[in-house]
Amino acid sequence: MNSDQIINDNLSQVLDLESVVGEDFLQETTIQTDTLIQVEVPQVRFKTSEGKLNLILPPELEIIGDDGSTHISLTWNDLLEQLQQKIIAQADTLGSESLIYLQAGDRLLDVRQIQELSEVLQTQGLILYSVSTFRRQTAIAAVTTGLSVEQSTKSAILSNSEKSVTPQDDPLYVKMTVRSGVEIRHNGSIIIFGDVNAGGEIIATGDILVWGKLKGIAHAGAKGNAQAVIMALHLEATQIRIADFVARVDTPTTNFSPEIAHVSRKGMPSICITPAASFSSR
Amino acid sequence: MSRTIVVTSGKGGVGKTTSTANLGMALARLGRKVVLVDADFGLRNLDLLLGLENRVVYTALEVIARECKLDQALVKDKRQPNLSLLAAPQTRNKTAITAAHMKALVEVLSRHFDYVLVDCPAGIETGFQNAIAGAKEAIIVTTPEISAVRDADRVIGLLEANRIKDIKLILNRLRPAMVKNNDMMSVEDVLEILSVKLIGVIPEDEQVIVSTNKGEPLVLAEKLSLAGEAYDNTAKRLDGIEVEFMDFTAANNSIFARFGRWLRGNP
Repeated sequence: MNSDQIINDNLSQVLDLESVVGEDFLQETTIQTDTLIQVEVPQVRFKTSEGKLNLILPPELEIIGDDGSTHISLTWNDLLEQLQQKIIAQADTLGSESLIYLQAGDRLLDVRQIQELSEVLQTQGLILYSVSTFRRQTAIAAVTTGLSVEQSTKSAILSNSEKSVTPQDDPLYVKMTVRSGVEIRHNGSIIIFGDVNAGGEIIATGDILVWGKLKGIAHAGAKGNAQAVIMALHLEATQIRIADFVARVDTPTTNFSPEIAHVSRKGMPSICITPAASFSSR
Repeated sequence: MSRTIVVTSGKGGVGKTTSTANLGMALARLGRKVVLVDADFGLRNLDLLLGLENRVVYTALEVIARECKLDQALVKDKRQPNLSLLAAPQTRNKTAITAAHMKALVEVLSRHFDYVLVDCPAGIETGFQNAIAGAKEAIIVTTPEISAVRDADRVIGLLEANRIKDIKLILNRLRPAMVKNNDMMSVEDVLEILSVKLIGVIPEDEQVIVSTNKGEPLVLAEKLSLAGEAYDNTAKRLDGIEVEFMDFTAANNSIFARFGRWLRGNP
């Protein structure tokens, strides 16, 4: 995707945008949603179900490069970094002294790794309480660490997780400055209380609301929902994506008024940015 | 209470090593016991800037391999006995040590010194991970350029993810005249993006190159250059002394203004 294929879009251009964008031009700008989803980096995530606060570790995937070399998608250190970031960002939602039910899935964990997880969680006052795993070795390691263990079979959890993928999860509330290199991905809507700096990425299957400056990349409706919107107190995003549409904010407006990016269905569908004040009265 | 501080930036060439050397020397002159640790394995520079190259016998690697004692590897600065240096090996690369080694090393040093300053290599790979392993605080060095600031932002994120929350900023190589003409990011522009505590603004100064080549930190000069004074102030702020930020506008740097400051006993 090169920049020529991207629709220029900013507030001053909204009015004449539709006349500028020709039919074949728009076709070029439409990118396959699949390709956006495939580059997904596995993420550690928290999920509440049946009153339990679950910490779900992504499976260890081996990525085979073009040259046949293999590497692990998310190294242990990356995972710990991600976890640390998440517990700081979601401190308000997670509460303190909450019991954490670790869903290790197919991941092999040794005693040291379980202790490291526990230490990271403790920095925000979270308590690692139980470990659920498919792997016998992990179960033994967890017992050694003195945690309660639940060894389940793959099929039970798989059917469970399939169920949770289709409908959206609860909105993800994140209280932090999303800095360069940080990617926040969520199946549902995302609320950021803080700035999203250039180089940071927010990807949601629902809406994105940034209570701060949005300078990085935001992708709302990432699984194809063109009704999704991106709202920010100050919209200076490097790039805005909604479902299959991509737009670049060429010269951000200098007024610091809240704006909403949405897909306009008037004429050729394209991303428009509207001041928040006049959005609801559209 | 000993403080372990890593000096890092992400991008190379923004002045990590220069800042480490000058802060270390300035803190030592304030009467603090300081050890500088060069964590840039394979590309060591800190000894050069301090003019201690020819006195390095053992490096951190020999200490870790238990081929020498820690105090044998520490090079004491003859000009300022409060300052010691633990050099990095020049013959190996970043994979020669692990984060656990570094953590242990810094732990031991912190028992004997008030300040342990770790000079971090550029990048965010193994060398960076090792350098930050034992640190409790961090100083980010950046220049007012979009690339340096972007990398600094990334590094701050990584530090936070590694449980280093006390992060301070040095803005290096500022050119006040260019800022005035809107040709360079201002202090405020950088702070707005990075939102961390500022402890020093260092103006662009030719004396930095002179001092690097001579192996004599700026803060040692009899008559402090503008950058030297800025480093001296930064060290004081780091040590908890309140110092006002200098005004770098051209008028302030004129002969008369300097003379005026000299009269007030503040060169």
